[in-house]
Amino acid sequence: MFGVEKEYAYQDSTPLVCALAKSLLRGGVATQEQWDAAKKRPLWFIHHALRGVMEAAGGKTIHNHFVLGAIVTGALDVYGAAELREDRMYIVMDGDQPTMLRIGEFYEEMAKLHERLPLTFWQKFVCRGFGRFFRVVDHADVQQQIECLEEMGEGEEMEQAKSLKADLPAYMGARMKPLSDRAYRQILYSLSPRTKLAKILALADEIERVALPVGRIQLDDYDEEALYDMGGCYPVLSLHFHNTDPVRGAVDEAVNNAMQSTASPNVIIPFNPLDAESVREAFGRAGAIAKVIALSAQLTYMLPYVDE
Amino acid sequence: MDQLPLFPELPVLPYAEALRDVDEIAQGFQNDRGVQLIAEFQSCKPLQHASEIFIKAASHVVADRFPRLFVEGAQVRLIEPPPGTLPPLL
Repeated sequence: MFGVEKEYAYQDSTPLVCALAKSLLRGGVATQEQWDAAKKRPLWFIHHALRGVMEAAGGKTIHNHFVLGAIVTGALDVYGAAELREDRMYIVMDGDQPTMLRIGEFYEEMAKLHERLPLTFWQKFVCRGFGRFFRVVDHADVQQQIECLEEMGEGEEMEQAKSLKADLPAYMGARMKPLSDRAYRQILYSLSPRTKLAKILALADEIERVALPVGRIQLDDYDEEALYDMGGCYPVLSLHFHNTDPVRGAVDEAVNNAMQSTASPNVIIPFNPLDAESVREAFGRAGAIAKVIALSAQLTYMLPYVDE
Repeated sequence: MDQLPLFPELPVLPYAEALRDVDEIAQGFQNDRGVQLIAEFQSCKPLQHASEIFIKAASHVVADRFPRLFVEGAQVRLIEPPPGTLPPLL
């Protein structure tokens, strides 16, 4: 996650980098010891601060999880022409290739316990957990494709939609409703905690709980404008029923879409480098996301890769 | 009667030394003559125009004197850091 230390992108001048370094100290995000460890170099210091925050929340192995990078930057699009502002910087987390995993076997096991369990798990792990911050490609992309084809309403498209629909299991059907938290946990506690299935269900519950307080990251008009000309995000994770399901096509489409122009970053946390409180809040948020990454990695380590 | 000092001594911040170091770096950067020259150049349109003329003229000189080195379309350019790189601080 912190692979190349010298790839920090700064569009702004040294005084601004120094201002951020001071805010990190004043906001209690980084320490004198980290300043010394960074050999009194502001850039290294910022790197140490970000790494320190993320490792404190997500563990020392946080950089091993998924294909992800985390940087502090002065511009969302380094090729863009937007005028840079002194009071705006970003923590960006992004990747450019998805970790492709097969979850179908676990979904089948869950469906045997309750037909609504796979959907409930998916909502916790993806919709309200990892997928809130990172682009995940899964059956929902296929469902969206089906809707588009059906809207076109032509014979060939309808046939294609029908074929895609047939490939999706009934337990992920559009009409399926999720279980309540209570019912979910009742099933979870009925399982032996040593089983992989119990661990996966428990982790999804925990991921949802940890992700909830992070809140939605609000972007203002300035940031929205910077993103306007940028393409979609690169997917970070894809969840497949089996090796040759329609999710694979959806992954290709998502990657192609991201490659059309400069891709939007997955996670964007704007902050004001001149304001210690804003810096503290942004780095705190990065820490919370690191925790979600670490828990999600624990979960996904139990899933086989596609084609494995 | 105890007297309260009018300007009580502030407790020393645990990161005071780091703050001082950072201030010195920022100050040093602002006082750097090279940095000041770039700022002056960027704020002066006639100077930028003159620079463009010089670049074109220099390109021709290079092309005439070193025809083997000249690559079609190439120009002598002011060396500027690409976007995303830092000014020469570290």
